[in-house]
Amino acid sequence: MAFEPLKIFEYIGERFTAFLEELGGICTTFVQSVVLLFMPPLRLDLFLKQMEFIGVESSFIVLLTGAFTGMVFALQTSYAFRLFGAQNLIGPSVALSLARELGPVLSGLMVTGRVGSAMAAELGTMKVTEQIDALSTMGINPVQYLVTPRVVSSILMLPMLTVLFDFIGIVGSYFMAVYLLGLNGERFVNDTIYMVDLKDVYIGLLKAAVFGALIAVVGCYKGYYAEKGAEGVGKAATQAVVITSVSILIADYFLTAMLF
Amino acid sequence: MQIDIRGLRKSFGDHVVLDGIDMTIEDGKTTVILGQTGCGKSVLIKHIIGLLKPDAGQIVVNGIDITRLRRSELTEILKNFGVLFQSAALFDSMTVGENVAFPLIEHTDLPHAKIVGIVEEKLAIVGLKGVESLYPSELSGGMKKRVGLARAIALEPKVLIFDEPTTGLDPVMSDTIDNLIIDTQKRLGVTSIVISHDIPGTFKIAHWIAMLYKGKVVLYGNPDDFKNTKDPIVRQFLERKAEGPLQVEV
Repeated sequence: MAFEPLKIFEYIGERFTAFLEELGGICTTFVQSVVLLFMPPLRLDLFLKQMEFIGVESSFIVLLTGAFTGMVFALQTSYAFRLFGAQNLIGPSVALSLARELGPVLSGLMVTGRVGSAMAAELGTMKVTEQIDALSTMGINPVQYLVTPRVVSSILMLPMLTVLFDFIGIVGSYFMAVYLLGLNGERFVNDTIYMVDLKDVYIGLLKAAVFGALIAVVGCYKGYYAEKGAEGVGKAATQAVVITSVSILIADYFLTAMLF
Repeated sequence: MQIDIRGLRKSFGDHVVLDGIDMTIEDGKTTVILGQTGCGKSVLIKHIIGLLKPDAGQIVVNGIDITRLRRSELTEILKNFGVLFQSAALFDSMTVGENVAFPLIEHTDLPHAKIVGIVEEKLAIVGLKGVESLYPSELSGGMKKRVGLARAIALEPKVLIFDEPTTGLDPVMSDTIDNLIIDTQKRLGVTSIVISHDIPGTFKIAHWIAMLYKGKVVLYGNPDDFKNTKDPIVRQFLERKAEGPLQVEV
């Protein structure tokens, strides 16, 4: 087959156009879902159900991840800080890392795996089995009914999960530092409180809210536009997880550069 | 509710699906739309219920062109429509009772006890009793269609749309569904639109029949017109023959 250099540009152009289309679709879905929040009717039960699913039901996995992250981070930093006798910095460095980065990012990634894929699969199944069409024909706006509660609940729940992650992570590092590495517990707490600014926590929570929006919007968008039966639903769920995970890491960089 | 379809056109890319459909769905009668798989029957229905916008043409419901309405205006019109989807489209996270109650909860202020009563009544109409607490996954195909019909008639609509109501059902269940369509039409006096491939069922339930071919209506008439037609396309379809002007696209 002859080599056709123009085909390369055609391919790049097609991929770029598809990327822009998808980005536009995701942004439109987000704006629609927020605007529809302020239009009646307000279905409070749907919001509470989503908050339970996204927040309460994710708390165990977030607690588990947070505890082990704090513990392993304390262990790793202890090796470095021991070289120049600064083990008392373990607490503050773990707390700062958790509040600024690890809390929001790892909570976001854990929730992406659990919730983002489930949203894409649920809405995708509803799409291919005509349940979304059924909502429309009953005069119900599917975005308002399905997407708005998920997006709003995710924006609210991610910061709360991050608080849990940060707290249990610091508790984990405390036990590691005090009971395994033999540091002074009171000093650990005092140094941590002294070094960690409330601003670090707030910005971490702001990041978490942004990640929450990404998880729900991408998950809902991929599900809402799923095609081709079971294969399409599976693809939507996979793409939702991949796109959200990458988006969280990219957004984290820009938010860090802008906010700190 | 009379529905006038005028010069309706729709293409997906280069593929022309509807190529100028003109048809009147008569008020209070059952109109069956026949045609090969992929001939545009479902696309036509999706235009009537506002899920798709045409490239050209009008759909006039009670004097209003619904293709030009805003979402909120269309929503008001759609409250007069009940749709039984091909897959029944029951909400699988809800029980049968919740599915049937859903449009009542969304669009009325009726008290809970009254809604429970209406749900029981509509399920009884379709021949189902005591299934309110079951989930759609626990139902057979025929039961799902009947629950879908109960949900479609919950708000006592003026127009009922059936998308292939008997596809995938055994002959006895198909006849049961046909009888339900006739009973519902008579009981509620609704305008019914049925998409079907089922020839005996069509002659049983239809007041009017339209056959689509290559995006156009090739014949519109009453069942006798169809029985007596010499049109080779219609004859081949009615006689279920592979040979003839109708070709299977592969």
